[in-house]
Amino acid sequence: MIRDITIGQYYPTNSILHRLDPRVKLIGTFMFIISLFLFQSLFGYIVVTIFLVSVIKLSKVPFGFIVKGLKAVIILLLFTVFFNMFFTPGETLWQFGVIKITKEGLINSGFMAIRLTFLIIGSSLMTFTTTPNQLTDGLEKVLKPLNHIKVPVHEISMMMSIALRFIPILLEETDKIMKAQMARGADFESGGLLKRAKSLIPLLVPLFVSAFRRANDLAMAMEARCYRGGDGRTKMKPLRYHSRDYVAYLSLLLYLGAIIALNIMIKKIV
Amino acid sequence: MNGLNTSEEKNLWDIRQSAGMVFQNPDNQIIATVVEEDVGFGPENLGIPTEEIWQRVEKSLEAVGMLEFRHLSPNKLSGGQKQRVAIAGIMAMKPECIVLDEPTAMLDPNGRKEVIATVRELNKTENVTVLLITHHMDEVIFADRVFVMEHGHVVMEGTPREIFSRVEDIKRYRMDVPQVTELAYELSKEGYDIPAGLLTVEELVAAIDTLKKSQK
Repeated sequence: MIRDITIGQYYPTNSILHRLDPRVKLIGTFMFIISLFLFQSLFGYIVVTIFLVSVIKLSKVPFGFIVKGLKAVIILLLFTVFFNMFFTPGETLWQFGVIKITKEGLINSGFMAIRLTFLIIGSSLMTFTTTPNQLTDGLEKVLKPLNHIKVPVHEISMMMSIALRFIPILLEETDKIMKAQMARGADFESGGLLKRAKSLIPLLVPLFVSAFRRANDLAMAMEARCYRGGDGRTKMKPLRYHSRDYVAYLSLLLYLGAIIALNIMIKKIV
Repeated sequence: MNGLNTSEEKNLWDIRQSAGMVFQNPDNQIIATVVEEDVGFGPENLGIPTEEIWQRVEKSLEAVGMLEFRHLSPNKLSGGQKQRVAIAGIMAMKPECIVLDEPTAMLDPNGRKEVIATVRELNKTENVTVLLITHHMDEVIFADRVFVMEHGHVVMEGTPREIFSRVEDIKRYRMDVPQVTELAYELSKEGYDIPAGLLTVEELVAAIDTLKKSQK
């Protein structure tokens, strides 16, 4: 089941987007999300779509693969659409008892659905084209200024990369413990919700114990290799901007500028 | 250790630089998600310039014979391979001494052979001192010097041949001797004239050969 979710996965193709600096992609995604909430008109919508489609084309990630990622959040999407549709006040189009659909609600929910879809596609494009390691590296660099207000940026990114390293190991371990408990007669599948939740205890306790033991071992191994936090550390793969990164920044600025300009223009006309 | 007292806290970091540790569980000592990045972790901590890190990573991965796996995730490797990556990670820090704390305890026989062969190779070609802590007597026979410990005290000391000539002493500490040594010991107990402290099959075969010739 976990394997079906494509959000957050890395999809290796040798595209220019994959070779971009992770900082560009992080900032780009952030700008894209802002732009999604800036546009209000049909024209803005067209610009955003053109931008997104061209980025998808550049990434060489197959469209079907991206759409698969949407399946995981379809419920959330429908939920938002539903609420927007029924609970926006305005001109009534259709009414049944207390339930009514308004014109504004319909428009709102349509825009919201598009925005959410774009948001998910945009952010999953980032993870499709960036390895988790690059992502944490990029995040560390982008958030570096927060160090001044005593945010432990290096530690957070180190924790993230270790977490990523141990996810498959812990999944495997969960599987092992589950089988071991099943061999002792544990039942994980039958019963009501409460019974099922209770039956997870013999799974979770050993899992946590072993995770703590692993953490202890890992901390010792890291210290044995002279790990002393982020100060005085050098990087094996330091992030350096290339000319393509500057081009990407420039096109991002142009894109954001276009959205804002469009917004202002439309406001003037209206 | 290098004239530094290991029990003093302030010496800790200097000691960690000159003595690398390899632990028992290969999964719990690999930090990064890519083999080469894990090997680079130690040098990164030491503040070594980027170009040199790359050289060191390449060299130490080559030394343990894992260069072709450099871009893989550690999760895709076997236990023996993971342990070799861990050894490479230590080698990249250029220690004078590697301490291996039962590195083969969780490995299958093949992985064990791999790791021991790698360690012996490093000892010969890279001139690092290897301190191997183990329960497997078969791994001991390659050592220059053996210490038998009980309850934190050294109870026996000597070359493998000296140690394994004293089979009764070893048994008293509830330890085993290599199978060949055991066989030779039992034979000599039965009255055959076989020297004590044989370590390899070849040695035993030679001993039995000379015995047969002298009987003819």
